[in-house]
Amino acid sequence: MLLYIAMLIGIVLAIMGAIFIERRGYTEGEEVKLREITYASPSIKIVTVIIRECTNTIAFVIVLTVLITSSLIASLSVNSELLTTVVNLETTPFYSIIAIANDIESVEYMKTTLSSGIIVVQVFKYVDVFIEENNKSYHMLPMLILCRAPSNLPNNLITLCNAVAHGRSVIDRHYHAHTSILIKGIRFRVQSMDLRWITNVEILPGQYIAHTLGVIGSSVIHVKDPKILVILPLDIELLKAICDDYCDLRAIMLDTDKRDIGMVKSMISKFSIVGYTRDRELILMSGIAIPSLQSLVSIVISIITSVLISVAASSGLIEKLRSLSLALMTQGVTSTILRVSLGMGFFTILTLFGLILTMFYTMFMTEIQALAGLVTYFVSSTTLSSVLSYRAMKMKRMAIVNAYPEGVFHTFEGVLEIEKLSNCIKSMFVDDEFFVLNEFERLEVSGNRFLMRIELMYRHAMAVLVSIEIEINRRDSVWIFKLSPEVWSFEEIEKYRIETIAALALSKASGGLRLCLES
Amino acid sequence: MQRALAIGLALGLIISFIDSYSYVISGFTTAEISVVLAPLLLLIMSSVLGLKLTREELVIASALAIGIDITTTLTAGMYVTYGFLAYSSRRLEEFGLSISVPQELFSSVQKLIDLNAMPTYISLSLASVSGAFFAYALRMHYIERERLIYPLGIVAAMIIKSLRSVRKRYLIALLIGFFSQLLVLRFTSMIDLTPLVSSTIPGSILAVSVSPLMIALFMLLPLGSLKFISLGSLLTYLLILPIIIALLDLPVVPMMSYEDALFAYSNVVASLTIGMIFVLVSYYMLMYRKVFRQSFRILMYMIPERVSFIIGLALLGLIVPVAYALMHNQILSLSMALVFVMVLLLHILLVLVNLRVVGETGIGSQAVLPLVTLCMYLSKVRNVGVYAALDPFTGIPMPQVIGGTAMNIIRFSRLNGVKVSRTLMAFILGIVIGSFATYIYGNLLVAIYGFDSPQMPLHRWIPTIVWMAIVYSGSKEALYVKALIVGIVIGLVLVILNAYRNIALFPLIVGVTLPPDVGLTAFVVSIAKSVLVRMGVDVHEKALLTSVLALLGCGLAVFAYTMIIGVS
Repeated sequence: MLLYIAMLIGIVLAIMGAIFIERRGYTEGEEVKLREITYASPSIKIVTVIIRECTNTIAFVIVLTVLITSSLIASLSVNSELLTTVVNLETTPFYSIIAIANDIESVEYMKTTLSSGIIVVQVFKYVDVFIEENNKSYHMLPMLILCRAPSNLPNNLITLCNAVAHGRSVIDRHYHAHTSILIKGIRFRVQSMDLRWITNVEILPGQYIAHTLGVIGSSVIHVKDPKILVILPLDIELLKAICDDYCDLRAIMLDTDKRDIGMVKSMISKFSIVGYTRDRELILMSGIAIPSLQSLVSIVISIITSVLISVAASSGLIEKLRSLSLALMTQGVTSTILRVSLGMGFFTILTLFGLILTMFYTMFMTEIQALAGLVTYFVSSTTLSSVLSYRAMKMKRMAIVNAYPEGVFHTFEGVLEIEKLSNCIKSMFVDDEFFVLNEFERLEVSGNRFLMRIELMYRHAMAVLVSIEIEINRRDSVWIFKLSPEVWSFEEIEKYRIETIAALALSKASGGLRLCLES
Repeated sequence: MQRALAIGLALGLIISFIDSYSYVISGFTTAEISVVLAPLLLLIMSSVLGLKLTREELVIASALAIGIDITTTLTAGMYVTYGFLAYSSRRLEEFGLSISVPQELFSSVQKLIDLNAMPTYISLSLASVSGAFFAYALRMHYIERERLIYPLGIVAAMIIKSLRSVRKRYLIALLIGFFSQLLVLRFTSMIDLTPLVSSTIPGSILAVSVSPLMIALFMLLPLGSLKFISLGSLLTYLLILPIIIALLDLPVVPMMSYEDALFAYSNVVASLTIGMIFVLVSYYMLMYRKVFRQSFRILMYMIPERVSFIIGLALLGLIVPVAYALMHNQILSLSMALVFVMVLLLHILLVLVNLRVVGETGIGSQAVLPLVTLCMYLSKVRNVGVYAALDPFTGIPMPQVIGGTAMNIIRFSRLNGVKVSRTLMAFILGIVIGSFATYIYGNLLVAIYGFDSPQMPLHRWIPTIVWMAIVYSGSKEALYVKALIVGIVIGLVLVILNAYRNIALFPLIVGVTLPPDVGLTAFVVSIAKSVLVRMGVDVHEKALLTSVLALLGCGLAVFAYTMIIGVS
């Protein structure tokens, strides 16, 4: 009842509240005159010019050849090692080899690989187990096991293996079942035994022989109640029947036979993780191949060499681009835009060839070779693009404003009508080339103090606002004006651009004020 | 205006259904980016149907649709989460975690509509509307005084202005977004680097994934925020987490996969985050205390804002009777009463903070919410129902998220010159309608698919469920004090550094809560964006337009994929 009351109160409050604020609300004056996006873009035009210039020169062909060649060399000379982790254990484990997998196909391979030991398949899907003796059905988690020459296993596992070896299933003694159970329509003879030990067998850090969900912090989330488990003989058809369309499973193979490392490594292609023990150490390997240290050094050398040769080969191209840049700068394109556009131009065209290279590697090379080759190519391309753009722009930078204008002061001696002055200043921005007048406010703080605020919208960006505050103080017949700008942008624009816009707005306001005072 | 409401209603009901399904199977929803997507979809609908919506109609219809859609995160998603928790509760007991989910959260009744649980979800969803009222009351503070951008609202307004005259070739971006996202959904691929990095730095976590939707979304965020988001994520999982693991002497399971590692150390990261949040929230309130004082003083003089704030408080207060009802007639002790008061105050505080986070970062985030979870955990609250009613992080009410979305809508409305109060009314009405609609969607999904269906694979929720169970059962694994202390120390260092260098503190915190594959994506996008910004304002604007269209394409791909799965 309380919940329904709360719900009704909530509905009423929300709706009444919304209607109330709608009725009392007002249109707020922020409608900023956003302009539409301009589709013409000088930077992109420069990038296309760079691409065109590059593709017309022999120098660039040489550069490309050098980059691709060094990439191929790095790729073909790469050596890899398998990712290996050494785990220190508290005691020597009973197994010599361990393999872990998560799919049914790997389980089939485990069956052919195991020579002496046990395979445990944890199925994370509840099944209905009908115990005929109790005439009741229970939800249980299946654990399928296969043992082979289990004499070297711990005693508890041997007992389990013996029970399952004769086609029996095993459940906890709590059920007192001794005849049979039904799972998915299949009848199994059943044996009840004390399974409390099974929830305490940790085969490696974070993994128990009983179903383990995972680790959180220092706790391993695994089955704590053995009554939930039903242990069955491992049969692939049974496994498929239990899984039906889909199920999560974890298969663990524990082999007590010692084998040579080469044989262990050969198993990696079939399983997620493979490991072997060495006294109290467990050496785990996964199928992830990592480049050897020599290969990494070789890649770095390839990158450095290719960049150096490319830079040397591209002098002619650099000269051409330098004169182009100079011409553009005299037209008003800033050095920053030029530098970035040059870099983007080089990078774009190198990336296009890089995509073709990627397809080649994907089709003809192994994963590790492709990785080595592509890393070499793309790192070289990026470095080269930066170096070339720097060299092409290595000229005296044009002076730009690099300080945010704090403010400007003016004085005037004489009689002044504030209203006339504010109208005059306002009119200065009516048809301004750079700014649109958004708002104009005037406030009389006291008889000798006034405040004006001019809010302008910069025409050449989508949403950049400049606010010029004019503080006016009068002492006798002397008027003191302080103008200070503040730029605020909805968009991302560079610091120097903000400073330029602030300076521009301030100079216009200052110049306009002087003209108005003189007129 | 009726036309606008009708269209907004129709769109809202459609996208909220798709978001409900998508949220349940992938934890992914476009609800929070509906601020950008809804106006675009409406514009397209308007164009296709020849409706010629006015600007005001477009804004009102968008607000209504967004309001309906955002309730996905409150009702459908949480109903399925608690349903799965109830379904798993017996199984979790076998794994050593003991919890009991009350009927008022999920009643296991085999009916199409779970009427037992309905008033709980609707009340708490309406309690979340308080965030919108708080946002309206304090909008001047955040927009005029703190000068926050609320990028998504601005981007939506900017693109609407330009979209009417977009050149056809830009629609290629929409197609690229659509097909690339569809490919990624079909062939989910991730390069798991965790075994590799963890073998070098034990406990570190990293993966590389490609998500066109995240790339497009990150392109819309302010560059400064994006850099700090990526920094927060990568530093946490590559440096800070391994240090804490070493300090705590936690076991590092060998060859852990990326997902397993994220799950294994989720409690450590949560403790670290809470420590940092505590410092940053305190710092923010300290820095802005005078401004807030002035804003509240002004608020008291303005009737609509004052009434709005009071209504917000009243709505927020609904979480208390709901929590009490879920206690099932237990005697209300003094300590529990104090918990209620503390949680209410924290909710208000976190709304104020989250409005700042969203204004600076752009995207909504639950980064600051675990503070409430911690306080409840330390107060020895162990009732699942009480957490569900009070906790914004693991529970249902999220006024902080609603408030953040409301501020984006307010910004969007103002930039279009539409009366903010009218737009907000539409948004609030959308939430009221959406609460019922999306609750029903959640019920339908469970009734049709159950909890063990390949069409609705819920295995991805297992880490969340286990984590919730750990917190609710009071397990000591829920909190690591040393990690909390490290978080506090890092928070203090950041605050000191902020005095010398401009550090975007809240985007950094948002980054800490993002997994490293997303952090890496943010890093790559920040590099690309910094290049584009340097190429000039015009290039940046084109990049924004392209990204929004690509984002729309990605959103449509999510919709299409969801429908394909549902039909098959």
